[in-house]
Amino acid sequence: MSSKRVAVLIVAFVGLMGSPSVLAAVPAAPTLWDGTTVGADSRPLPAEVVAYARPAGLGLNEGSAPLREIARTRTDGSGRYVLRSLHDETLQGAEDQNGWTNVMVAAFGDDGSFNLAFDSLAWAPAGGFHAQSADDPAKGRWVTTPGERLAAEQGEVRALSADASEDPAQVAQEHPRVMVLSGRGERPISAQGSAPWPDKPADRNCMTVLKSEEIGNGIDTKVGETHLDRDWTGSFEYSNSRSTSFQVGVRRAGQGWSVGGSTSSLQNSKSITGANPQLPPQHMWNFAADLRYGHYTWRCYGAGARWYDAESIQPFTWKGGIHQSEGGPEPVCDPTHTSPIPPGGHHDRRNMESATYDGGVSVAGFIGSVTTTIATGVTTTWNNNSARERLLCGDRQDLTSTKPNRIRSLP
Amino acid sequence: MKRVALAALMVVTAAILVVMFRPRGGLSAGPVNAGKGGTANGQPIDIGIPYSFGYLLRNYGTKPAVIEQVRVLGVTGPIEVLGVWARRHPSGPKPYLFLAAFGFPPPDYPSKPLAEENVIPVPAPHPTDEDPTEGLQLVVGVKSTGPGVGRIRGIEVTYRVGHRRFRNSDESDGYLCAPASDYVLGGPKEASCRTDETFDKNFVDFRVPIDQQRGG
Repeated sequence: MSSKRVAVLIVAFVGLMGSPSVLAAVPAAPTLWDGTTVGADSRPLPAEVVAYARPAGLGLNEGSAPLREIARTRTDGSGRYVLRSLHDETLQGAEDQNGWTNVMVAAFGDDGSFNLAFDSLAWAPAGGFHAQSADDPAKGRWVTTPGERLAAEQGEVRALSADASEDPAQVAQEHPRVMVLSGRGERPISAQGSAPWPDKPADRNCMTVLKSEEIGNGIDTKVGETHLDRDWTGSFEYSNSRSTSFQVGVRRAGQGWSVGGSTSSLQNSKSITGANPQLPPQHMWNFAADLRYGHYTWRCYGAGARWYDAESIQPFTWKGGIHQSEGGPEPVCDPTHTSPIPPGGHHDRRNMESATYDGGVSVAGFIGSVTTTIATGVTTTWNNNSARERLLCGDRQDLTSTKPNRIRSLP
Repeated sequence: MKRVALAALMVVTAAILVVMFRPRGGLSAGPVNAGKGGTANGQPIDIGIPYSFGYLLRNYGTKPAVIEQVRVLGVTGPIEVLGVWARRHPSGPKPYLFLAAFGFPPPDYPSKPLAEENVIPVPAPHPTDEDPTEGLQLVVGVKSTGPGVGRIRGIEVTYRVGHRRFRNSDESDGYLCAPASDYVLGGPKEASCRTDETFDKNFVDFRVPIDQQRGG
């Protein structure tokens, strides 16, 4: 073959590399949220599922910032659904100062049943936050757990893989993987009567809140603890709430509160108080952030003339203080999850480890949990001041696990 | 003219080959989880006393993984890395997950040289919301070489599963603060054993000779 022909072939090959026939098929938008819808009898229920972005940091001014639809889909025969979205302008515009976006998902059952779920999601660019493609709204994936988000920010390869998936057990703590739909709509809109405000949209849809009100003015919400037996000292520092998940309460009219997901998005997320000093031994220390909570009423419209009102309750900002207290339920010890600390040694939890505090949220009759992930601005330390080796013990996992785990110090 | 064309052709071909076969951003993390750098352990200690930091490797794959190399990262200040050994977890009279212990190897946590113990086993089935129990614990031996805070940033493990090679790391810090009397409770530097979290780029490698890498 002459050099001319080889050159022509190479040029042709190089040219083809960028042509549509050689390029891989354009991938679908990344998964925003997936799950299953079931009826009250736990059987799969066909439904239309819609995701909305809710502007960040709003407490009582919802009327000026409506929900924005970002994805809509139908379940398959087994009730499965996948909502997808690019990291587009709508979602970028709804991000808070920490990059979290509050997302609300409404599921409208074909039989007229309904439910809502909430979560905060963050965008993790493929290749990392400093990659050239970091601004590409299609190259990345959505994460919901603070731990996975931290992994992405720190460039962990597993987290940056576009096809990686979060730990299902941890995702289930953030929002319901299975949405149980119930009820048949509040009441049909009479053909003669006027439709309730706001005007009914053409599609099955949720509108902005009907009503929002603040509950209290700073409600203590447990975000951390340090268990110190005799001759243990320690400290707890909490200066940023961006890696803490607070469960969100949801209820339909006439029903009781249930957990409808979580949020990590607070308008103010930083502490105005300093780090806690060295804590003396023989105490169960608790730390609570004074959060302001909102109580919201949502209106959604289903097929035909059905409409639904639902309420949610969630924190929307941190006043900035941390309150220290003693007592309360101590972490239990699972002896299979112990680690020795040598005499005079210290152990810090610093990064991506987490603890879940059941009942951390207790407001207006709703009881939910708080999961604090150790991250920048959040540290717990134990010092073994004894002259002998002693043990720290996890209630569910080893000390180094990133799964939720409370730590007990042993005498 | 023909030579120039040929030279240009070779350059273009080489460029295409480089583009087509370039490394894809290094090795992936693979199925072995080395932790996520969540902890820091520190110890007031006297100069020259051997000490060990522990790092647990867990295999989330379906085949045993074989360690090829361990790199001790961010070796900073007055500290010397004595070696890297390993132990099956759980094992020994104290089946705890040890994160730090006196001695190298620590007498309470019997360990073997990396050449003898380098397979990360596949754990028994376990609930999805729990970590597996079994793993291989790396035992990183260190000693203080002078007054002040000597530290390591963590470890990086290169391993293979079958013929495929992976790399993962655990950036859990370890601190030695000497002399002990300065850094213990009530000492003049009581709270400063772990105040400096900056690390040099120095590292120490420990390779497992190919003929001593076990199955996998």
